[in-house]
Amino acid sequence: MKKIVLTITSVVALTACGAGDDRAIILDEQNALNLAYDKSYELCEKITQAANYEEFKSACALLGAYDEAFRTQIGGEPYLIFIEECNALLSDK
Amino acid sequence: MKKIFRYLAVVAIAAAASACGHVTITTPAKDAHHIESLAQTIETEAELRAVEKLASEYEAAYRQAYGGAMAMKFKSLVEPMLISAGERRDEFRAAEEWLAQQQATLAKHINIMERAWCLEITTPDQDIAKIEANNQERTVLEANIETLTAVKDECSMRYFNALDTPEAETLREEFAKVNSDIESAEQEIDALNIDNEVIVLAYKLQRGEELIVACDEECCTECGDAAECGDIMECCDDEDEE
Repeated sequence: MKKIVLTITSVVALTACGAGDDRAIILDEQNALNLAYDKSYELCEKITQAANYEEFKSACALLGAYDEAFRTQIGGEPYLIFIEECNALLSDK
Repeated sequence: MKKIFRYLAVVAIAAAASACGHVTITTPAKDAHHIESLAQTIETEAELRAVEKLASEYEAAYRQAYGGAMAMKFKSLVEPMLISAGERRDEFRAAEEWLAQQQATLAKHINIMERAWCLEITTPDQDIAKIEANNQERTVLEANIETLTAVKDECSMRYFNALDTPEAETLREEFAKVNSDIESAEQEIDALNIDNEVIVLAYKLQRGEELIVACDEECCTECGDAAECGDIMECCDDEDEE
C-alpha cells in the first residue's frame, strides 16, 4: 500500500513539475524572430557543449520545451526559423 | 485552435448551404463574392473541397433557375478564385511538408547525439575496425543497388512493351519488388552511415578526441583530397555531391 501511495505521489509530483516548466516559458510574440535566432543558438550551444550525458539530457529537455512553446505560442515563420537554425547548428556538432 | 474553428466555420457554412441539396441564389456577383470570402480562408484540402462543392451547387442552381448563360457567368467569376485558393492550399501543404521534414531532421540530430553519448566505446583500433567493416558492407550494398537498378530499368522497359498483355501484371509486381529492394538497401546504407557518425561523435563527446579513420587510398586518389581524408570519412561522398 505504502509503495503504491509513494509511486502515485512521485508520478503526480513529476507531472506537476513538467507542467510547471511548460507554463514557465512565455515567449514575446512581438520579438518572435529575434527570439527564434537567439534561443536556437543558446539552446544548441548548451547541447553541443554539454560536459556529460546528464547535461546533454537536460539541454535537450530545455530545447524540447522551447520547441513546444514556439510551436504552440507563436508558430508560423518564427517557429520554422527556430527549427531550421537548430538544425544548422547541430549539423556542425 | 483558431485553425480548427476557421476550418469548422468554412465546412459548416458549406455543409449548411448544401444540406438541403440546394442553395439560395441571389446574383452571380453577390454569390461569387460569398465564395470569394470563403476561398480566402482556405488552407487545407478539405476546406478547398467544401468550397468547390458549394460553388458547383450555386452553378447548378443558376443553371436550373436561369439557364446556362447565367451559370457560365457565375462560373467565370468563381473559377479564378478557386484556382488561387488551390495555389494557396499547395503553398500551405509545401510549407507543412518542409516543417515536418525539418522537425524530423532535428529529431535525427538529437537521436544521433544521444546514441553517441550512450555508446560504449572500446579502443580506437576496435572502433575504427567497426567503421571499416561498415564501410565494406556499404560498398557491397552500393554494388547491389547498381545491379538492382539495371534490373529495374530492364523490367520497366519490358513492362511498357508488354502493356495490355497478361505478362504486364507479373512485370509490374517484379518492378515493385525490385524497387522495394533498392529502397531497403538505401535505408541500410543510411543506417550504416549513421552508425559510423555515432562512433566518431562518441569519441568527440565522451573523450574530446578525434577518431582518425584511415581512408581508402584509391578513394582519396580519386577525390584528390587525401590530406582531408584522415578525419573526414566521406571525402569521396563530398566529391560526388560536388
